[in-house]
Amino acid sequence: MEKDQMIYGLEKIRDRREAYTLVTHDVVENVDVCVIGSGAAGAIVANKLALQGKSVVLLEKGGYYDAEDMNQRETDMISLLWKNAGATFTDNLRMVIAQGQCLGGSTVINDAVCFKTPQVTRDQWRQMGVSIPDGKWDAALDEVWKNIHVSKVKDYELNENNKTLQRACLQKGYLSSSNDRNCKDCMQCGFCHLGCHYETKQDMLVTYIRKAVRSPDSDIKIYCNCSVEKITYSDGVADGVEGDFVDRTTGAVKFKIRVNAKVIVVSAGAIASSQILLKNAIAPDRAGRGLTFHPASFLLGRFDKPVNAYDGIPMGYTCHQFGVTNGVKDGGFLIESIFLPILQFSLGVPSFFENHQLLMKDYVYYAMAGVMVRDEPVGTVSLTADGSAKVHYDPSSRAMKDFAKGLRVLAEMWFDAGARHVIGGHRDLFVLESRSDIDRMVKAVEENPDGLAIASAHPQGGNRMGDDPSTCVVDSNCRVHGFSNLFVTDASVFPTAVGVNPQVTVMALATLTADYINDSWKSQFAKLPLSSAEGETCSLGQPMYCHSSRLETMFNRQENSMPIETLVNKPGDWSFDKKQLMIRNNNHWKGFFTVDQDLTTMAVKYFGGFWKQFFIKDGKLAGITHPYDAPVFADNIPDMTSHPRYGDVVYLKYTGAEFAMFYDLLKIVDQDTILGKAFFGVPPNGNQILVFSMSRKYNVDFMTETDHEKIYQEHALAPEIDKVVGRWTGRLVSDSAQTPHVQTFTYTKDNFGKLQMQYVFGGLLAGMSRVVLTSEQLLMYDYTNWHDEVRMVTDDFMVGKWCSPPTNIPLDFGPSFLGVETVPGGKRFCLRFTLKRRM
Amino acid sequence: MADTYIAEGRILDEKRKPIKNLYVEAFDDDVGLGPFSSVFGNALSPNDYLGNAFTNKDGVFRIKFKTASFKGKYEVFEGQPDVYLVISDEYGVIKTTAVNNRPKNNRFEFKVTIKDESPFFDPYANSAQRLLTQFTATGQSADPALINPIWTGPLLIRSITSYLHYSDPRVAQLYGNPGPQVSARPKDSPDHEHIIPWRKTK
Repeated sequence: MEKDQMIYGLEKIRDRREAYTLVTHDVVENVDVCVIGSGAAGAIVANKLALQGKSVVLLEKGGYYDAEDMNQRETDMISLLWKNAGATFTDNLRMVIAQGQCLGGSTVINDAVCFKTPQVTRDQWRQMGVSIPDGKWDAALDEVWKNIHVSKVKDYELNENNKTLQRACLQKGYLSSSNDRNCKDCMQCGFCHLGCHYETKQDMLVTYIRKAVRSPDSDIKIYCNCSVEKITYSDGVADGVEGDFVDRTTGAVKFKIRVNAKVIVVSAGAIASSQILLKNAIAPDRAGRGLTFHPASFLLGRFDKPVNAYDGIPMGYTCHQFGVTNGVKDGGFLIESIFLPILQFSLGVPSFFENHQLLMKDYVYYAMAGVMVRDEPVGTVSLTADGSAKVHYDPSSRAMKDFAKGLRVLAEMWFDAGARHVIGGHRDLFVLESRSDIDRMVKAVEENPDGLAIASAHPQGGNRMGDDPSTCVVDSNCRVHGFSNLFVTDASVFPTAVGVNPQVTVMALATLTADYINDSWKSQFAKLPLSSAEGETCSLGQPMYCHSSRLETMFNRQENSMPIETLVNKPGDWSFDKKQLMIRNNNHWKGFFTVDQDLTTMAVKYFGGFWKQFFIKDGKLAGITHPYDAPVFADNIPDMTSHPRYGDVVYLKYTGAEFAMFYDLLKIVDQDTILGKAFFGVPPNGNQILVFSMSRKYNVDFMTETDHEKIYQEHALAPEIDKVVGRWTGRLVSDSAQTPHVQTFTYTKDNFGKLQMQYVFGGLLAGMSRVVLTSEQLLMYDYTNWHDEVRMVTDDFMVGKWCSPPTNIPLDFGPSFLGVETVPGGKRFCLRFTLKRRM
Repeated sequence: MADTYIAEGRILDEKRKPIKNLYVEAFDDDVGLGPFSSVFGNALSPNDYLGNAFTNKDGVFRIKFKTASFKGKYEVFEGQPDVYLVISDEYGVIKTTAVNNRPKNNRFEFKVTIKDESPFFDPYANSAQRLLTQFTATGQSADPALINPIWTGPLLIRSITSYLHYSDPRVAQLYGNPGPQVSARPKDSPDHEHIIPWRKTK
């Protein structure tokens, strides 16, 4: 097999340092390993597996930007390199969470501070069921340390900001030291958060990723601008990953990808990794729990002489006295020097309006440091109705005590160092004019903890590691409990906050995970079958996922390969494959339009859905075309003809006078697939109106109302209560087109074991439904006089309908998607839907 | 064979390597009656279809066609065809060539180079739009019931004013920060030096 080393993406930027190709169409990859996320963990896993002979696809949501793209401008770089353009918040908007989202992940935008995993933390994790021996930890840490070129900040590299903290620590006799950083010949520009223009920071992009894509022996493809949506699996074996290539500027999905792999590694970072697991109902009862942070609050010391803290390494010095690096076991905090470019600084200064301006004018006179607390795993990640991650976190009471203590220590240190006054982070007291205000600040923190401004760049936990499958998501090899080949390795697996800047610990865990996969490859993974699924990518076998340009080309290039008799349908020949969730419907050929998002296509798609049926009449082939939403049955006669442009095609001539100016050309490409074009005018030179496809097999996302009714009646049963508990996302059933996800149903059991359901419709309408389980179906009642009826098809798929009360008033009107049913008591409208446990 | 014409040529990529398996269609560029022309059949139709071929391993294609392909019954002024090619790979059209109306001995010769002529992505443009697009995630994940408006309201206003005021690096200079040490578009000056005035070395 040909080896490949290439980075792919949607953005055409000139002068790339690495080999780069634009993604211009849907992609299907078949590889040994698929890694999700290219940050501190994903880059290392991908590197180590690719260099050991595995074929690897690495998927990254952000874009690929080289050092020379990084221009030290905050608005440019934050929107390019930071997740959510820096606007990731907890659900109460209290705490901002900084994470990277670009090739290299957070390692591109962090301050390059390196700490080995403290022994205290390792021991605690061991007590919590993580069985990684110290020898392995040490070897992995040493390997990482070497590969990212960690070195101690030299004394001459400490700027006045760092030196001020150093002097204050030494004066107090606190344990402290210069930091280790993964930087070679640092230029001390102070713009670490905006990516390193000088390429001195040894982030993942310039170390592990570069080595992987430049090694002729590796086989690695990296897809950027790719948002992972699905991990497919059955019976504890994951077989593939599906994602969207998303235009970062508009948010539009441009192309799709499906990666079939023997091993899948999720390294999307804390929060995103939990989000991916939850979206796919993987460990749904455990994933997202135990999220934690190192929340930090900052104090500025205002000195008489300019500190010029911007000029130099922002984070060069740390006070260890009260933290895990000094053996503190319960919580504790580090005091770390830090400084920020002016926009981030202004966002961080805790004041408003004219006060803010007054504080900002002293920008060069400030020394700055943060109290970074090691909190408990008290947060959660959950999903919003549209599948976004919702982070719920409030610092624990112990963390607030640590803040009170830490801010007191730091304020005293600034005053000791000669600060004229100190700017605090509490909204009740911004400015500490003298030492006597320290007590007031501490009191404010204690009495009004919500008033303290906090931020964090260290989200951790959510997919806890440990050997107990009832409480942990992954085992000590970072393999998801209950799966043979699905791994999660990144900060999300930390059982507790690590207590120090976490990047090296993440890298060490990734090293151990990659080593485990490499070492176990032959015995556990090599023989796993590779799926041949195509996901939602466009291909000849599933043209319903194609854009018009691709379908047009397929029609032009493809030859009609089946006899015309293949067209003939067999009414009544309908079947449903529960395992694959595929419908085979030979009553007619279901028509599909292209997936383009332009207005015309969307209008045609939703209002012009159709089927074509062919049969033998009087010994001759004949057909009917029927649009679902109109009482039209257009008779036609198919005939094989040789077209000057398209070669052998089926020419579909409409016989009715009202359709005489229309005709279709069809190419039958296999037993169940037809590509077609519709024309207006005189053949062979008519004007093409549209290109379409037709199929006799399609998955349940494309089901018609008739399909829905058959599945509801013949293939679905009333669910068991325990099986229905969880989060389900739904689509409305439309004859014409696949609809987007529009509703979320979350079933839970109350304290009495009774089922209840929370619904969100259209991301707007939310409420609770009363649930009644009968032997026939699940009934749900909301505040309207309509009700839901739901039946379960598989553990992950249900069908349902939302129906009006029966009435004797004739209901033969309205759009077709509002189906009319006859039931005891009269007729009723029903809006049909499907529900999937995995998005 | 005055009645037979040939459109032929070779298709190469930017590195002068031949591209195989491209689908080449040849058309005669005509003035027609727009969308109404097809009502009249192939009389007065625009852009007559001349033929198609796939490129071989050397990137070579050859399309033969006859006069009847481009000269309809009523096209009395049609002399010789104005040939252009539409070239597609398996994912869509990748190039439409310019018209060739200078045949030699009824042969229309094409030398085609396939280049990616799409514009470069500007990583610095639309920063504001990117910010707004990504801010939607914040809106999606916030829970209004948990937000303290007394704190969050002013914070939001402050954040917006900070973005408006401090985004311009020249503003940083007003506060004593020299601002960025590289140009706004570093790749426009590839020989730029990396100098930080305050950098300390041994």
